[in-house]
Parts: sequence; structure tokens; C-alpha cells
Amino acid sequence: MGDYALEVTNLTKKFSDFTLDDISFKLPKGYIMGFVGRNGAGKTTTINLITSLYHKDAGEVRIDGNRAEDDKVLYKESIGYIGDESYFHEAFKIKDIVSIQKDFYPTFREAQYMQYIEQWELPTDKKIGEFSKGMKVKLMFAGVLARDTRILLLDEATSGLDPITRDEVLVMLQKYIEDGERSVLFSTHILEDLEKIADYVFFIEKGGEVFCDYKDQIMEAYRMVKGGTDELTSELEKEIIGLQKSSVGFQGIVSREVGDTIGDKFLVEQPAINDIIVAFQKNMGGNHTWVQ
Amino acid sequence: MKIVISNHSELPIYAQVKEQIKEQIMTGVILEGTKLPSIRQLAKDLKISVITITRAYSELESEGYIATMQGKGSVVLGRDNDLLREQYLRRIEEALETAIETARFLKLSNEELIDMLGNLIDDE
Amino acid sequence: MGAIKYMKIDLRFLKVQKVVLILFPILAVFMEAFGKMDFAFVFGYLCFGAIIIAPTAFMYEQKGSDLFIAMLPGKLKDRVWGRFLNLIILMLGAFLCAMISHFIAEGFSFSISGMEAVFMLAAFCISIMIGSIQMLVFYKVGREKSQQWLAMFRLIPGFVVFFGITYASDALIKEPDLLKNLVGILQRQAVMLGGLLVVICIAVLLVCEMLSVKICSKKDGY
Repeated sequence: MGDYALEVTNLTKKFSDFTLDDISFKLPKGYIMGFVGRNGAGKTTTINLITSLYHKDAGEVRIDGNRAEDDKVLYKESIGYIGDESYFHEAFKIKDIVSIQKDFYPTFREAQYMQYIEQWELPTDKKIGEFSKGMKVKLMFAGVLARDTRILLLDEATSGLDPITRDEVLVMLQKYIEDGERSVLFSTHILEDLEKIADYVFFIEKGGEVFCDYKDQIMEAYRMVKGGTDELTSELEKEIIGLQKSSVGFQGIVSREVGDTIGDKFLVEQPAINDIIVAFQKNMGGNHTWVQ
Repeated sequence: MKIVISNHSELPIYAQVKEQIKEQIMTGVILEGTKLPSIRQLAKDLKISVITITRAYSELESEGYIATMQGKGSVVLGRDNDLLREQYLRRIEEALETAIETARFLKLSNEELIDMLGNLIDDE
Repeated sequence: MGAIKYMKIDLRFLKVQKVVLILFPILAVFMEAFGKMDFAFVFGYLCFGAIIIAPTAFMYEQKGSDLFIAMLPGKLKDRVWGRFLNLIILMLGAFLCAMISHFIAEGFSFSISGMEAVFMLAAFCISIMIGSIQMLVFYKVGREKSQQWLAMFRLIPGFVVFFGITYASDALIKEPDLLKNLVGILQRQAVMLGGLLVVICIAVLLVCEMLSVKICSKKDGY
């Protein structure tokens, strides 16, 4: 059992052109972890390794303390996965999905599933290939929420959604963790979503961890500084991550300590998590490392 | 209970939640003995993360405003509990210190200041 | 049983080919009853149909939209077995259709010579063997090759089976001596030969299945 919904230890996978290198993190029960990084940074690979769809070269993954190797069927049952694209065959209809879910998931609740279908007005007479993107995502959610899972893995599940639907998804995620027993790992580009509801953030780049920490700590550890172009001293420039210069000024991210000392000379304010992540991405290969 | 979070405040979100609850407790809007919503419930209502609310509640507890019992939620404590009393005393001190500083700035004498205080108390 | 659950899924894909599924047997009946095609031709034709339809599930995996299936809590072994069972069911379906069309063609009476029975058993077993090998090939290279390649490739075993059956039947008819010898051997060793063929068929099926499982367990995405 234990207190962690998900424990990833030294997870490694080598492809010909990319390596996911020694990824480790723990997600306690009842919390949401945002998983951010560029396309190709390793988010999908990590999630595919967690679902055991891909075979790992090294490392261990435990969900609620169980490994896929111990009982693959139980392991897969405990995962609710929702991806960017519909993973149902286009020729299937809702009744096919119901039938398959009934066969394979012992905890599947058909009545609850059909309630979601009705609530979200998903067409029962059309093939899934004819659904809109938003409908396809909701269909995936219905399938996952109408059965018992221990963890939700979302791989860019909200990327193609309109803002209203995205908001509905965030509400669903918070409801999912409300009992404090289940967790969500949520890979996304849309960092505003994380800003609100994520408890933890894991930032990955080129197959390796950049940082993994409480979202609040990350937000508080950094400040955004803005000023005029000629006010930028070379000492300050050294301290700035993700510097942007224009004809009318500069802006960048600095550590809180630095920000507090220069507050009288420059505009210093709370950055959005998006600003911090983007700044770090710009800085890759630079001389700044994550501030604890 | 009313809580309104600003995304543009310099105050971190946990602090905004904490201060707003604190204010309402101190002004009596939230009465002693009231059960606060559970951390997860509040997180869901405000659409912010659980850890943020947890921090707000922990600090409220360590400052003596609420008491949390495992499995039973958080309850607003009476105004005459010691920790809270300390908080209030500190508030009075801070207000008085501001008064003194301002008096100095105006070059008011100590007697004049004490007189002012006396008059205000009599007016109450 | 786990494998049956997966087999049901693969059979669902055939829904899309509903038209083909219905046309094939109807054409078979017509060909034999009214077209006066001989039974071997019809049987070969139906086996051809079964073999071609069997890998339909692989075509869908090409698009990568089989993630839902891949994530279902089931064993890989069952998943592969399900697909092989799919093949067997289709072959049995072909067999049944052949029987029905023969029944109708023979004026609603059931008459089948010993030769025809043996011939059918042989064709059935060999079709299953070829179908199994086809499955193995699809498992090995299915995801790496394009849709077009797969669409073309799946025709080969089908045609092999079809022409094999009709050719064998023609050859036997054209060579009465060969036929007589064959009949002689068969009559003497019918049970043993029949049994041997069935055993070989089952062996090929099992080997292909085991190799398929091995291949899948090494690959990502299953």
C-alpha cells in the first residue's frame, strides 16, 4: 500500500535518437502533479513506460505499491489513461466500447458511464470517427471515470479542447482526488491549468529532469524582473534566466533573493509558472541550475 | 465565508486565503465554533491546489485561529484562546507603534499623545 | 476466458466488412448451385475469403488507434490467442458456408464423397497453416510496413490457398491414375494420414502463436 500513488525510480529507456535517462519521482496519494516539457522532451515516453505500454531498459514503476511485473492485469486496471488523441477505433460506436469495458474491467459501471454520455450529449448512434475532438476526449474520460482506478495519467489530454471544456476537465480532476486516495499525473503545454490546481510540477527536458518540486515553492522561488534596456547591468544579466530584450526594455526571471534586492530599481513581480518554465527552457545549456 | 483570490496580487495565494479567513474570524464574520470546509473541498471550490490550501490552514492553526482534528476537519477557535490572544495583542502593539511613529513625525509630545488616547477611550 | 474476450474485439472489426462477409457466402452458394462451379473451387474461394479477412485487426493497428485495446487489463498471450482464434472461427465459418452451399447445390441433400471429405480436411488444415504463418508475419512486420504493403501482402496467402485448392483439385481430376493411387493410399492410411495432417496443422498453429507472443513481448506498444 504505502502513501504513494506513483513511484518512479531510475526509469531509463534508450531509443536510437533519444534517451530517457534515470527519471525518478514520487507522487503521494491525493495530489496532482503537472508534467511539463517541450515536445520530444520525454513526457509521452515516460507516461508510456508508466502504463507499461513500452518496455523499460532500467528502473522501476510502482502504482499504489504494485509493479506491472507483479500482476500486469491488476496494474493496468488501476490506471486511467487519457491521451491527446482518441484511442478508440474510428469504426466503433459507444455500444462497442460499453461491451468491451464490461468484458475487461470488473469495476465498470455501465449506468454511470451512460450518465456521462447523456450529460455530455455524446452521440450513441454515430461512429467514434465522426465525433468532434472535444467529444472524443469526453468519451475517454467517461470510460475512465466509470470504473475504479488508482491514478489518472493524462498525456496532453486538454490540448485540443476549447476553454470551457478544459475548465470542466480541471473540475473533474479535482473531484477525482477529493477522497485523498487517488492521484493525477497531468502532462500539458497549457501551463495556466497547472498554475491553478497542480500540487507538484515535474519539468523534463531532453530526457532528463530539470526540476521536480511543490508548485508553490517553484512560484515563490522566482521573481520576474523588468526594466529599461540601458538599466541592465552585466552583474544583473548574469543572474537572469531567460532574458528577453527589446527596443523598449528587458525582462527575465531571477531568484527571489536577487529579486528582493533590486526591487527599488526595477519592476519585480510574481511570475506565472509559464514564465518560469519558458525561461528555463530558453536557458538550457546555460549556467543556471534549479534553486532549491 | 467568503474568499476571493486575486491572480494579480503580490501576495501568494496561500497567504491570500489565510489572511481572508483570518480577517473574517477576527471581525466575527466567521463565528467561533464554525466548522471550516475541508481542505479538499475548499481547493475544489476555489480551483486551487490542495497543498496551497493545506498551507493556509496549517498557518492558521499555528497562529491559533483554528484547530484541526484528524478526520473531523477544522474548527474556528474561541477568541479567548491564548494563541489568538497573543495575535490580537500584537495587533494592538503594532497599531500603537504606528501611532507613536506618526506622533514623532508630527513632533507631538508624549503627553499630547496619551491625552489623545484617553479622549478616544472616553468617546467609546 | 481471456482469449475469447480479445477474439470478440477482433471480430468486431469485421463489422466494418459486413458487406464482404455477407457477399462472399452468397456468391459461394450462387457459384456452386447456379454457376455449376465445382465444390473445390467454391471451398477454395471461401478459404481465400477467410484468410484475407483474418488480418483485418492488423490493419487497424496500423493507425496507432489501438491504444485502448493495448491498455486493456489482459495478458499478451490471451491477446495473441484471441487473434488466432479469430482465424480459426473464420475458417470454420468458411467451412460452414461451403457445406451449406454444397447442400443447396446438391438439391438440398447432403452427399459428400469420401474423396471430397478428405480433400476438404486437407484444404482446411493447410489453410489454417498458411493463415497462421500469415499471422506470424503480420506480427513481425505489421506495424513497420505501410497500409498499402499490408493490403497487398495479405492477398498472397489468400491466393496461394485459392489456387492451391483449385489446382490440386484439377490436377487430381486430370490425372486419374494419380487419383487412383492417391485414393488407394488414402483408403489404406486415411485415418493415419488425416490424423497426421491435423497434428501438423495444430503444431504449426501453436508454434506461430508462441513465436507471435515472443515477438510482441519484445516490442513496444503491446
